[in-house]
Amino acid sequence: MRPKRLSQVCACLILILAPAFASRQLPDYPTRPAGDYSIKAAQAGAIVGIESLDDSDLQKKYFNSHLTEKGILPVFIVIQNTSSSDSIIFDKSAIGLADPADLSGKQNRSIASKLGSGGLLDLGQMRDITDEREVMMKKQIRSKTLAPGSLVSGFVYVPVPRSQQRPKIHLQVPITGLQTGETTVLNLDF
Amino acid sequence: MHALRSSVVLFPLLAVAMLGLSSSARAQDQTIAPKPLNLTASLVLTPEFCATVDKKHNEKFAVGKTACAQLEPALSKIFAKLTSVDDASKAADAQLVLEPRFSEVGGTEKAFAFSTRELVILVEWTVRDREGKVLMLDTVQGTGKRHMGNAFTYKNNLKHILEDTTSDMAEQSAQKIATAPALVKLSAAPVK
Repeated sequence: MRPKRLSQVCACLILILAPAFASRQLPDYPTRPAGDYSIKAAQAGAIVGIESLDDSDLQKKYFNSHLTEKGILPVFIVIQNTSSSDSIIFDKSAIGLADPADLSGKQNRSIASKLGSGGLLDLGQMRDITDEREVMMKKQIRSKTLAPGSLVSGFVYVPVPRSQQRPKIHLQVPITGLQTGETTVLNLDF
Repeated sequence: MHALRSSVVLFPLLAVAMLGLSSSARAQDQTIAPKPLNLTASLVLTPEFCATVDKKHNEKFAVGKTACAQLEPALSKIFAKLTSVDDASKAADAQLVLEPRFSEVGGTEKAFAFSTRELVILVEWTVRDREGKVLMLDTVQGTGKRHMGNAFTYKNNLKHILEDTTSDMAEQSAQKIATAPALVKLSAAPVK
C-alpha cells in the first residue's frame, strides 16, 4: 500500500473508531440486597450496606481510573426500605463523615480543596479532573424516596490521604420516614 | 486516476460512518405520557436556579436559563393547574410546591469534530404539600448527545445539546412526579 493511500485509510479509521472509544460504557457496579453486605446497619425500617473499593484494579474497571492515587476512595452504598407500609426519604446531601481524615500536607492540597458538606468529595469542585468526574457523577448515589421494599444504590467519594494507609472511616447515613418525618442516622465504620 | 479511485472507496465509507453517528447521537428513549394528577401545583423557579451556569475550562452551559424555559410547559401537562413562582413563599394557594435544584452538571469534551459528546444534568426535586411536609424527594437525569462540532458548528451544537439535555430532564421530571406514589395517592383522595 502506498504511503498516501495508507494515510487516507488511517484517517478514515480514526474518524470511525474515535467515537466508538469515546462512547465506551464502563460496567455498573453489581448491586446486592443491602443485608448481604458484610458492613451494614439496620434501623427504623431501613438497612444500609456498604462496600469500599480499596482495590485499585476494581477502581480501574468501574471508573477507568486509579482513584486512590488521586486521594479518592469510592464507597458503594445500598439503602433498602425494609418496611412493609412506609416510604423513607434518602437525602444525598445529608450523608457525611463523623470524623474526616487529616488532609494536611502539600500532596493532599488538591483533594482537600474539593470537600463538600459532610466532609465528602464535592464533584462540582472537580473542574480539573473532568473525565473521572463524568463517570463518578453518573455512578454517584442519588436522593430518592424509597417505597416499601425498594432500594437505591450508588457511590459516595471519600477523600483519603495520598500515599498513606487510609484511616478508619465512620460514615453517617440519615434516613427520614415519609409519614413520621423523623430522621434516623445509621452509622457505619470500615 | 489513483486519487479518484481512493475517493470512490473512502467517501461512501465516511458517509456511512457519519450517518451512523448522527442517528446514534439523536437516539432518545421513548417515554409513555404519564396520567395527569388531579392537583394544583406551584413550580418554584428561583432567580438563582434560572441563572445557573456550569463553567468548565472555556465552556459555559447555561443550564438554568434553558431549564426554566422548558420545565413549566413539560410539567403543566401533568397537573390540573400549574403556576410558576420565583419564591416558595408565593406558592400559598397550590396543593403542591415543586422545588427543583441542580445536583450536578457534567459534560464530556472531545478532540474530534465528529466525536459524540454527552451532557448530563442531575436535578433534585423536592415536592411539599401545603403544610410544608415533604412528599417526594427524587433525582432526575437529563442526557443529551451531539457531535463536538468544528469551528463553524461548535456553537450551534452546544446550543442543541443543552436544549436536548434540559428537554430530556423536563420530560423525565414530569414522568417521575406524575408517578410518585404519594402524589398519586393524594390525587386520588376525595376533595375536602
